[in-house]
Amino acid sequence: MSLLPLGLLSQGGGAGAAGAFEQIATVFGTGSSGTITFSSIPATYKHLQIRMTPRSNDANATAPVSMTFNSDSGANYASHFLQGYGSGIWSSNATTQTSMSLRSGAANSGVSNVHAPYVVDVLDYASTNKNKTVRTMQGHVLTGSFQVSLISGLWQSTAAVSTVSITTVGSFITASRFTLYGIKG
Amino acid sequence: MPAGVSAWTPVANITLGSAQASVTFSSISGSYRDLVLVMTPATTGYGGGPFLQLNTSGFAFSWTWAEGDGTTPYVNSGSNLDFPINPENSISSAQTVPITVQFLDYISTDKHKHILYRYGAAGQGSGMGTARWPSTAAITTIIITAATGGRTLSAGSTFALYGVSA
Repeated sequence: MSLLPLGLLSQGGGAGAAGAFEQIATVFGTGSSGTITFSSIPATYKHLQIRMTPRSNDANATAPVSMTFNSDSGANYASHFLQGYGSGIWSSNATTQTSMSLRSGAANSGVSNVHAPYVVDVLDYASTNKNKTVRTMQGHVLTGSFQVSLISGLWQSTAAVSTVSITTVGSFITASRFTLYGIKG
Repeated sequence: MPAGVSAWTPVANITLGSAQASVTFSSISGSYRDLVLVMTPATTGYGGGPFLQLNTSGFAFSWTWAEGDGTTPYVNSGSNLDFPINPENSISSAQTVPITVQFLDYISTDKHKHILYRYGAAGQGSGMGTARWPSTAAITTIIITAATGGRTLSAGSTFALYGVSA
C-alpha cells in the first residue's frame, strides 16, 4: 500500500503549489531493456515513493520484477511476502538475495493491455545510520489468475539511496510507466 | 512537472449529511496520472460493501482480495459489474470503515485499469485487494454504492478524491 501523506494534504494547496509530495522523475520502458534506473536522487526528502505500471515483453504471462539500490549486486537484500492468489493465501521470504523481489508483473502472453500496478515506499532512504526498508503493494488479475501482494523489503546497507534500478525478465514495453516521488519530512 | 511542485492535489471531497444509496465523482479531470480515493464509509445493516463502479460502461471487474480477521486468513475472487471493494461491513451505521483505493494510470487509453486497495473494519478484519477493469477508456466517473437490499451509506461517511501528477 502506498504511504499516504494524509497529514500533508492540508499543506498541499492546489496544483502547482510547493508541496510535501513532489515528483522527482518519470521514465517509460524502452521496449529493448529490462532495467530502468533513477540516478542522482537528491537527499532532500524524507521518503521516496515509486508508482509504476510495468509490463514485460517476456513470452510468459507474468515476469518477475526486482529492485536494487546504488547498483549493489551483492547478496544484501531480503523480502517477505504476503500474497493472495484468488483461492488461497501464501506467505514466504527470501534472504541473502542479490536483488529485492517485487513479485511478478504482467508479461506478453497474459491479457493484452494489462499492466500490473505497484506502489513502492522507500522509507528513510537518505539515512546513513539505518538499513533501508521498503514496503510494496502490487497485484494483477489475468484470466483465471489472481495476485495481490504486500511485500516488505530490506537492503542491508546504511548508505543513502541515490540510485534505484528496477529490473524484469525480458524488456519493459514502452507503455510501462515509472514515477519517482519525494516525500518531505 | 518540475521538481518542487506539489504532485498531490485534492480533487473533490464529499461528506454525507444524510444517508444515501450512492456517491458519484463525475467529470473527473484528466489532468493527473493517478487517482487516490480515501473513504470512510459506514453502511446500514450487514452484507458487505460498499461497491465500486467506473464510468457506468458495462465492463465487468475481475477482482480478488485477501484478509485476516484476527484468527483466520480469507481470500475470494470473482467478476462483477460492480465489485465489493470492502467485503466486510460496518458493525453499525456509526462505525466507519477506512478504505484507500489507488487508480494508477487512470487516464491512459492503452491500458486496462488496475486498481489496488486496502481496507479495514474494526472487529471484522482488514485486508488488501486488486481489481482489473477491462477497458482502455480513461476513468471519468467513480461511483460508490451501498450493498443491495435497501442498505445505505450512512450520514458522516466521507469520500475524498486526490489527483497524483506525473
